[in-house]
Amino acid sequence: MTRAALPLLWLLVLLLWLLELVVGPATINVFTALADWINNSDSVARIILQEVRVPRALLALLTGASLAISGAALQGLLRNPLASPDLLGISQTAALLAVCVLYFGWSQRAWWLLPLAALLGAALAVLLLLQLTRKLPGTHSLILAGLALTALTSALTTFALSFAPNPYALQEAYFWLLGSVANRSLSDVAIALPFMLLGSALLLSCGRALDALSLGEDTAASLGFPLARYRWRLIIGVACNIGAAVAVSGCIGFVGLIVPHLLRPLCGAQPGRLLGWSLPGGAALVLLADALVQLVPASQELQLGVLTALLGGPFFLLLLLQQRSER
Amino acid sequence: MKRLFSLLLALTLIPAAYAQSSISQRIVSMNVCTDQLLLLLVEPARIAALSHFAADPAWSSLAAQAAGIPVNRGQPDEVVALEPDLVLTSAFSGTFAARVLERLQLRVERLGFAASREEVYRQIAQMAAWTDSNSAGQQMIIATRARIDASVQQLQPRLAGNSALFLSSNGIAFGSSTLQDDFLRSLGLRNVAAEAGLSGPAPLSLELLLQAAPDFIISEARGELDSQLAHPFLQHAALQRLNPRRLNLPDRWFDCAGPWLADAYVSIATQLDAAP
Repeated sequence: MTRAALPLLWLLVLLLWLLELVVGPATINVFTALADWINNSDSVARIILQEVRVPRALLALLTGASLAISGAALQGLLRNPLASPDLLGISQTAALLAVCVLYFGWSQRAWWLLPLAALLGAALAVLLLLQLTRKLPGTHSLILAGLALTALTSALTTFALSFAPNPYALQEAYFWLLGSVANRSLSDVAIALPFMLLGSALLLSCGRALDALSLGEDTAASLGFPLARYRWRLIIGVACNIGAAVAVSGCIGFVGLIVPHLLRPLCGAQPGRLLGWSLPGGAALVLLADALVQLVPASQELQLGVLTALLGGPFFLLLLLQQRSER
Repeated sequence: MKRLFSLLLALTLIPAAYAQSSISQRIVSMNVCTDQLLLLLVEPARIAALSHFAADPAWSSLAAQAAGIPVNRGQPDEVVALEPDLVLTSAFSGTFAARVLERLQLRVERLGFAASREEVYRQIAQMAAWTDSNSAGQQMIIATRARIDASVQQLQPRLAGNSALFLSSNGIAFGSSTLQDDFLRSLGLRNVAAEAGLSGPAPLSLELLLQAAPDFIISEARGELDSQLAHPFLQHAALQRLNPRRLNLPDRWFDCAGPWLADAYVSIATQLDAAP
């Protein structure tokens, strides 16, 4: 059953990806658009498909996969079921540094400066949190520390944008704090993809170490997986994924928290195995959420992060209650 | 004879002094729109303070004229301290402060929102009435109307039947019931945002924009930093491929009623002449 579930999950991703190409505010015939693309004729339908829907669907897929694998890795590394990049303030710290790079106009100098800044922000946040876990034992105190970091960096992001010379720049805070994959282009995919591939490869290579770590740090070391050797790989892997995801789509919340929990019943509790499953799991969730965002008949398109938070908030509360009853 | 003369002089001066005192002498403006009309309609000596946007060229077309005049940040306490005899504000901004000032028995007048040329003229007349500068107001209306009508006559044959879109930062378009819509229709242009069902300023999705494929996109050409921060919507690859004609008009010419609306018409003519 579980062996067949992984290919099925990837099939679901493919179907949802195709659904994203069909869904959108403009009514276009995707088949004619595709035919125009193949025949290289420049119709509006083709431009909408090629320059708007394909990049959007790709980014939803990539961002979802990145957020979910990072959440799974953090839950394994910190051995904390409530860990996730957005609840711990990692995404928000990445967004703060990304906004700083945009604010000083550095993003035009080199394409990799924006994701690199976001990556540095994410890495700094993970390092800080690892330091805090030593000082603050217990599952919930780490989440509280992450909450403080989230509040601080979100406030600083809004603060920076309120000083922007353009009066409309403050609206950008919505994008950075809630996240969206709307109106992005293929160049955004190109910016994010290399970092996401590198990050996911690094995290997947830590799978067995995370399995061993679930038995405790000392046991892992005796099994030949000293945490010191894998810690940096995990930090850089998470930072690459979160940095790239945030640089192109802002802070989309709760994906990193929900997906590992939804998948554990399917693939088992092994943290290493969960990493590989989280990739399609996260992609499917964000693709579905982004399709829903476009289907909701609102006068103004909902931010993707609003929808994931609507799903994730109650889910997080349920997890907290579950934890309480387990204790 | 001498005494009679001085008595007569005194008698003629008394009503003048009375009239003088009923004309507001310490006017405070709390909104960038009333700031600008005030600067055009009354002498600076009668202005006690302008809003803090008045000297900002991003918001005000008359930033240079505002230099040297005190500014306020729209807080009730600082406005009270200025001891104004007339407070001007917008019906949509600083409403809390305005209510506080009214409770303190100050005269507060609120300028509405202009969504057409006629409403622009009416607002100028309204401001002129509040500030007892009716003749200056009438002159301004006549001159503005003449400039706009002349431009419309010149531009309409060239533009009629084409489609256009007003776009501000973050993909905000201007649908029906906006001054931008009235501007486009006066030139015989179809407003694709209104045709897409938008009313007022509202975000237009990139897909619908592409589908409407307007002949002209009118937006404010902002600096590199600005366009990066306020979402690089206009630089999107899809828009580059559609390649509509770009025209540059500052947002501030449409944010507030005033004679600068005529500048927008003249600017369109200049831009079309520069590269037909």
